Amino acid sequence: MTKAWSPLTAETLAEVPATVGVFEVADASGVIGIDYAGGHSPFGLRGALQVWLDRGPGLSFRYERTNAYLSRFREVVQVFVNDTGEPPSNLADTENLPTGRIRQN
Amino acid sequence: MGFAFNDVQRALIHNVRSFVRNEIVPLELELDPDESELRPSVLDGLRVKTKQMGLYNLDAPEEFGGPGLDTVTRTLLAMEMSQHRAGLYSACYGAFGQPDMAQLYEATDEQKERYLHPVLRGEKSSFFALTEPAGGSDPARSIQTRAKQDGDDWIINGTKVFISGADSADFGLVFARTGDRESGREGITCFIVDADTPGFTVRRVIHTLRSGHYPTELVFEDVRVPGSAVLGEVGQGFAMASERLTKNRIPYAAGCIGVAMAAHRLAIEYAGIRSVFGQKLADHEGIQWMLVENEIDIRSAALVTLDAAERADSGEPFRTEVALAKIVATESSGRVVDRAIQIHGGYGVTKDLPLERWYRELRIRRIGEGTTETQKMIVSRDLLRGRYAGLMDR
Ligand SMILES: Cc1cc2nc3c(=O)[nH]c(=O)nc-3n(C[C@H](O)[C@H](O)[C@H](O)COP(=O)(O)OP(=O)(O)OC[C@H]3O[C@@H](n4cnc5c(N)ncnc54)[C@H](O)[C@@H]3O)c2cc1C
Repeated sequence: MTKAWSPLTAETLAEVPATVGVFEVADASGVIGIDYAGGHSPFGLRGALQVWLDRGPGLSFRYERTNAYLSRFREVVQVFVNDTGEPPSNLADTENLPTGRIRQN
Repeated sequence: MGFAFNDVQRALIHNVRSFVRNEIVPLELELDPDESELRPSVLDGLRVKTKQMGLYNLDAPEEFGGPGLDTVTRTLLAMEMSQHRAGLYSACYGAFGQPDMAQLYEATDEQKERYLHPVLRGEKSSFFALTEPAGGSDPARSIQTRAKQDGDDWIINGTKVFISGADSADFGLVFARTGDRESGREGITCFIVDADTPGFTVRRVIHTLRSGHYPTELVFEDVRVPGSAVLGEVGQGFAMASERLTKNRIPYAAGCIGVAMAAHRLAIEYAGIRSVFGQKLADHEGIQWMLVENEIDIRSAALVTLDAAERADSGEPFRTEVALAKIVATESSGRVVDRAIQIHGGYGVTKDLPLERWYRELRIRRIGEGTTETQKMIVSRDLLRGRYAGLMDR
């Protein structure tokens, strides 16, 4: 993902569309969350990011609107794992972690 | 041609039906509507159950642990297995085993040990890499990936595109040109390539309208494989690929029909519940006709596909029958789902129901595993050359 980061606040979140898509969340240490807002997510990206805002201040985020949210999510996670050697912390205990072999060109 | 089910078929269909409806469908409630992967631990449990039922690895021959069913019976089961939300996916999330590995049954003992048996046990997964950026309909001519011999080894260079599942597979069957360009189909060889071989890269997932499915773009840069990685014989790869593609079109067609049956059932149920203009949908002739058209499409597709399966079992050539089945099943199931959406009105296009997903995914079925046009080309060639025995001339 190459978009600019925004601080995660109630104001910035209000601008986020209620559509499906993928997003990353970071704190001062770097990316800590990669996730998607799928067909079950009430209020799409906005609803999914609200969960992160509720955790407390100091986070930033970026997102992509995309109907191909599952394959894009998979791709973003796989590139992250290939770059850093481990999954983002929100996926550390996920049984369905989409580990794979995608490498950034 | 007569499709009265025998007792064994009836019992198997019944078992698969209750397994899908009681074990699979409830699990789908938790998934994202587009998702088609169950948690590995859940899948392990399902595999154990299908093994106990004797229905694991349905497509495998008996000597490899399969139940040894004929093609007609497997086609009936594929139609039944596909009657759930993610129905088009191979063998119900893999609970009934892996997709057909026909080529690996011909492998050397060492290759079987290393690749086939782990796949059959559900421990390894594979990809099938034929299509290239230069084209997929005519791979014999368009394959530009080259493999050059270097001592006992081969060195592979090239690019593949639209290769399903390669991002997470353990190995793949990779088709490369080993002869010169003029050698056409005789110049293509199949190699088994481990996914961790240096020089092999998955460049990206290709995003398509099919959700929960991951075709990829692959790069091979000086990928060195040993001579023992050749599957079959040098120069015989294309024949192997064609055989697999021909056979695979039967379950491919059956999966579409299963989905159409499920969509049709939803439409019938809804027509009996929803009222418009003071009458049930089912009481409006316009709706009744759509339901009848669905029934016609499903019946015709099922009969043509079962005919192809019966032909495959008879030992007679069945390429033309399979091509017809692929055309009829993929095209007609798309129409059935389209009508089911129409009957559901706005709800038909929501992700609350699987209809919109099936609509998108069935569109791809007219392209994957040989497009409608290439299937028509196969049928027309055989018709015009007098190779195809018409229905009344058998
Ligand atoms: C989701 C998905 C998954 C796939 N998975 C795999 C995979 O795992 N492995 C793999 O090897 N491939 C895979 N494919 C590739 C697939 O097999 C090809 O897309 C298909 O064979 C068509 O090739 P093409 O896309 O290059 O189209 P082309 O060959 O370029 O064809 C373009 C158009 O021309 C038409 N056409 C071709 N020949 C004729 C003719 N004689 N007369 C008239 N029209 C003609 C075609 O029907 C099509 O409409 C996948 C494709 C998709 C979309």
